[in-house]
Amino acid sequence: MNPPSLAIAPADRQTFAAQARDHHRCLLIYARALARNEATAADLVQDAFVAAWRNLGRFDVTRDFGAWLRGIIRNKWREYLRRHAREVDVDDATLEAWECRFAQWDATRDTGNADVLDSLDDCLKHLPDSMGEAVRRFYYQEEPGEKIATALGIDTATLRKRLERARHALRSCLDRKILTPAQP
Amino acid sequence: MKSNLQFDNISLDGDDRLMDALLREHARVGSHADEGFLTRLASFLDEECESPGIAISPASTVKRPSHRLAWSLGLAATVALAAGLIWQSQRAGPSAGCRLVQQSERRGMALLTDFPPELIEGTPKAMSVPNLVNAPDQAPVFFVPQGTALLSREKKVTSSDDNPIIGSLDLITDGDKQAGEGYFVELLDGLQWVQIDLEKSTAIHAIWLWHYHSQRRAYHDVIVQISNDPEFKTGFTTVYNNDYDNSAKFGVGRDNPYVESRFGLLVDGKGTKGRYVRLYSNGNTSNEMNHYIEVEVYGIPSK
Repeated sequence: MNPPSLAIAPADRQTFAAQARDHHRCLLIYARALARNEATAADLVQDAFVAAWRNLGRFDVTRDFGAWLRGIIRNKWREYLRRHAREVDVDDATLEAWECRFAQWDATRDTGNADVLDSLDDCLKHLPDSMGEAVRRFYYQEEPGEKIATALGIDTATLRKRLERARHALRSCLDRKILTPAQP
Repeated sequence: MKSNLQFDNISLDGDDRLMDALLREHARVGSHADEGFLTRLASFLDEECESPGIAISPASTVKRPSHRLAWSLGLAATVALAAGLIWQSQRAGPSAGCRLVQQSERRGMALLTDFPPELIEGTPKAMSVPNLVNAPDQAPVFFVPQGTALLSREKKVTSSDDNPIIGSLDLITDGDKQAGEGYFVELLDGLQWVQIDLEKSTAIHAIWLWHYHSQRRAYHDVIVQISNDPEFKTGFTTVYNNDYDNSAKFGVGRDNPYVESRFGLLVDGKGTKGRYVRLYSNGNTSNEMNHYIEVEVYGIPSK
């Protein structure tokens, strides 16, 4: 049986709405990883949805919706970089690795398991205190790095390292959850 | 997210960069759907359908809801559908496509605004109010005619309490909706009002209101009226009234009391023409005072 994302019929544009709802957060993450800017990422994803909508009749049903949209986003991102005279700073190997990861996340969600953002909720709770505090202040309270470092009694280089370790720990946690989803 | 240059500009390897993006996106909206994004997307796709050269199925006679408030009176669940609502409520045909947004009875455009961050402090007090509508966990979705704009920014505000002890009346139209200290004005106890002078009479399509929202509480006798008379003596139209016991003497309201949230209260202005918008309240479930953080009035700008 095909995964749900393959079931879209070109004529059935109502399905598009449901697909947009299912996929938009992961696509925003993807675009953000490419562009490293919130506003640009939102524009890229929105433009990709509009392009997809225009070309819905040409949608290749042998591919899944998320992969199709990510492909459009990549093209939009390259266009964006060209317009702003900036170099592509993500190599093909990285793009391929990301594609694998997003495909896993999509598949996990499509099979009824918690999606990556829900899983992240859980993983965040299991971070060691020192990492959790750094992540909370930096990402969720948007405090400047210098202020966080001072508050934690560490220097900024240590804070950067701590954040990097936290991201690594979260990635490992997500991998465990995505690859071996919890049983109901 | 604010710029945090020393940290934002550092080079991250592939996986780390992806996790960074995931965390930033999670911090922005949590694990929920981004209703604001979906609403904007729906508007864009609406526009797409009006572009020439796109194959569009002929419009059908599908009936769709006209301008209406999507979340008030316990319809918050409807909001959860957000953009999906726009498309999926049109189940009339499998290839509806652009027909979905090309009805003769168009919704217009989705009304968008900025929302303040969630800031809930202190222990909530019991709210003994009948038919209380819980705070929504998502933004309301509401459609207004094309060309509708924010009319109230920086406009003059007057009040039944013209000398507030905390804050000042100009905070109500300054565009800042945060709930912290320094962002709200506190009016005396009892039935009090604030009034915004739009400077010109115009068709008003929405009023978006934020009382104090950093504690779960409900304000009593929330009433919104529109008039061309600054004294509201020679006629006014009431567009919202949740005074369930007629204590404000404007009649028993048909709207339900609601719990304050960062999403505010979105009132359908119903295209009522007027220059002045007056908003009443009569204390709240936590204390007897009246508080306003922001009021936005949307309408078609007069030429």
